[in-house]
Amino acid sequence: MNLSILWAKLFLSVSLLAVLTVISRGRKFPGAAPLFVLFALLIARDIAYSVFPHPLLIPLSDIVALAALLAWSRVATETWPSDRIYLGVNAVALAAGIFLAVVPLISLSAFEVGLLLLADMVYVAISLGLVSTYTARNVPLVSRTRFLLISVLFLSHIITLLYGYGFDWVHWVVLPPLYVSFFSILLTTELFEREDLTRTIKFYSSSLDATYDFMENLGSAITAKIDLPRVMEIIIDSAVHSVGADAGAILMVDEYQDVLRVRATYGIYPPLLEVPEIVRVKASSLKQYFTDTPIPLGQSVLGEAVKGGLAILIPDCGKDPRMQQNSKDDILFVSSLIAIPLVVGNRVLGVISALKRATNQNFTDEDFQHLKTFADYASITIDNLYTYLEVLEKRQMEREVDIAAQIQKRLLPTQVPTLPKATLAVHSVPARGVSGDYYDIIPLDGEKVALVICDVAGKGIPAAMVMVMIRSIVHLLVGPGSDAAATLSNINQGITGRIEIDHFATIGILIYDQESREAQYANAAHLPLMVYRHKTGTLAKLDAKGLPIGVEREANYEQKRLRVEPGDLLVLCTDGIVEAMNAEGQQYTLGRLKSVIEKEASAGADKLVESIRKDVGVHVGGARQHDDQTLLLLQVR
Amino acid sequence: MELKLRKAGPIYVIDVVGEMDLYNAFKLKDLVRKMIDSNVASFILNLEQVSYMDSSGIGALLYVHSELKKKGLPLRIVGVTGSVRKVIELTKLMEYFPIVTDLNTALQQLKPKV
Repeated sequence: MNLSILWAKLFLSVSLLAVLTVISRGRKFPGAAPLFVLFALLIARDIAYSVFPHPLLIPLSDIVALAALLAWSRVATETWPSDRIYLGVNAVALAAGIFLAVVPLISLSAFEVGLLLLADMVYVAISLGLVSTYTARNVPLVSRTRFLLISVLFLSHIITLLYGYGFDWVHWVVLPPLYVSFFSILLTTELFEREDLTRTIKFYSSSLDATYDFMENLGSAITAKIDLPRVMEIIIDSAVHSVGADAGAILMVDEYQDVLRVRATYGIYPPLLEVPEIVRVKASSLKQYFTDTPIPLGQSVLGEAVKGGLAILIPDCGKDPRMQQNSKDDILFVSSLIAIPLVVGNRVLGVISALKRATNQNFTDEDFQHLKTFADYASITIDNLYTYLEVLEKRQMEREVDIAAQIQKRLLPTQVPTLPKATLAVHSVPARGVSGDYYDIIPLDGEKVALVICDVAGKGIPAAMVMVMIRSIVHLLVGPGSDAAATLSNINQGITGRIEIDHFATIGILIYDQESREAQYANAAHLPLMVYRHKTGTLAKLDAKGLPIGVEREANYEQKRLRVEPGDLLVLCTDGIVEAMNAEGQQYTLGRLKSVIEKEASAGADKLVESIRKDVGVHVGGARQHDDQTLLLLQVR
Repeated sequence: MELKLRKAGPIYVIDVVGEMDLYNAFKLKDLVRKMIDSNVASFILNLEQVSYMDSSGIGALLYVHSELKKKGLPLRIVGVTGSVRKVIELTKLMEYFPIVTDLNTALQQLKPKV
């Protein structure tokens, strides 16, 4: 090899190195390191050859150069199949070649090494040919250069194989295309990175558009009427479009169980767990199955994202063991997946996920970052809506409570009737937001009077309506001839099955005949009647058996009769009195009520009620009243 | 009030923890409704950790009992002691509700027959 060839080669190699250094400095340049090795190797071996022109030097160094080229394609495309056999065979050949070059035990010709190189080239050519968009990144770097590279390599190698390195013309023929193909690698990389930049800019501007669209849609969905499912749909719709996904889903953590429930889907989002054979048949049944099947936290990629609170990107599902069931070529196929937990503060509300389902389609890091940002917005939006709906519901409930209080107020007697041979006194204080107590005093013909005390479970308008029903039936039924137990049975039959069972009522009915001083009492699970005997100065409870109203249609009610004497007291009250709580959570208790009655009974009905009111007040102190308080008192004269 | 779900084979145990009153009894109703919708067939309500129950709590129990009865699904109520027992006694529903003494008895009773 004469000097002009050496200079030409050195000039070209140094230029390659210089260009590579300049364009790879301070920026992304996939596969730069192996290229540095390759170009440096070219320079070194040419210098070495000019000093020590051993026939094996060039073919042996070509083994290393080819390995560097292979390494470039691996690094640039970020794919790492095992090249172990290739590297092993060549390492052994290289070592043997160097050894024999120094200690020529047997003669090894450049041609023989060249044959190995030919085999190497076939391997490298196949490797480059196999790089596909489906498995690799930065694919254009390889796909745009591989044809030129491979053909030039083969061509120049065959020439050197046939004619050796001895002729100058071989160098002049082989050199230009070889270096052109090396330069083409640099040029392609440079162009690709520029395109990438343009793509990134386009991506961000398009995602900005998507975000604006999202905000706009969301705005209209919220102002019209808060429709949470619709909002979820808009969110998943925008999310899917912003990353160019094929399907997406939002799943929220269940309120009670540790499971995720599907709230919105876009496209066909196949379940990420094993599914029964039957639902695989149709896309629609698959969709239904996914929507209906809760996912335990921690299970599947979705459950994992929520449990760990970590965003997950799976660029190629075929390579991820978690996605085994979605990697086969069937209706469940998923090519790429993103799952991002919806987090507000330290609470994980749920997960948003997007999928690509077409082969060769992979989410990029940009997609991943973008959906993360999107998920931040979505979490805040959903959380705010939840809060807002709660407030709305609370306000609605308060309004309802006010209406219920109005109804209750109108149902209660406006004044306590005056009776010829008995004195009545009432203490009744409704608690805000409850409106469950109802009492009535109905004077009947023939010196009789009916006392009704009732506590409806639950609150609000439903409870008030039950009260209205009970009052209507009571007023229709109670007459001079009626008895307490039959009245309760009738109320119960009229109401059971027509009200929600959790608005059951407890009722005590007392019908008192002033003429005979006889009372009849029946009780539907209300607090028992209290009877104070003037003669003994003591109070005793009188109960009668019976289930609450509204529970069982055929319930039986026991009737108790009793005779009273002047000065005796009959007391009915609701649990709002005996359970009235002070700030320490202690109840007023029946015992304390009893002692007040026994102490103050002689003072007369009105004074007694006043004393009870005061005593309950003293006990409760500043604590908020939790339940309606009602007490009816009849004193025999 | 907090509701915790446990599973013992096909039987679901709902542990009710805390106060069961006017302001949160509806949660139990919601939960049971959802469980019926997702085809849960056997229920045990464990009230052992209920600290306070008012008539709305009783209402929720009545609701659960009647819904399951309508569907023909078995229910057992366990852990009825202290103040909870007092409230149920007061409303005379001790015999009405399917109350059993402890969880094991309830599980034994609901165990599918082989």
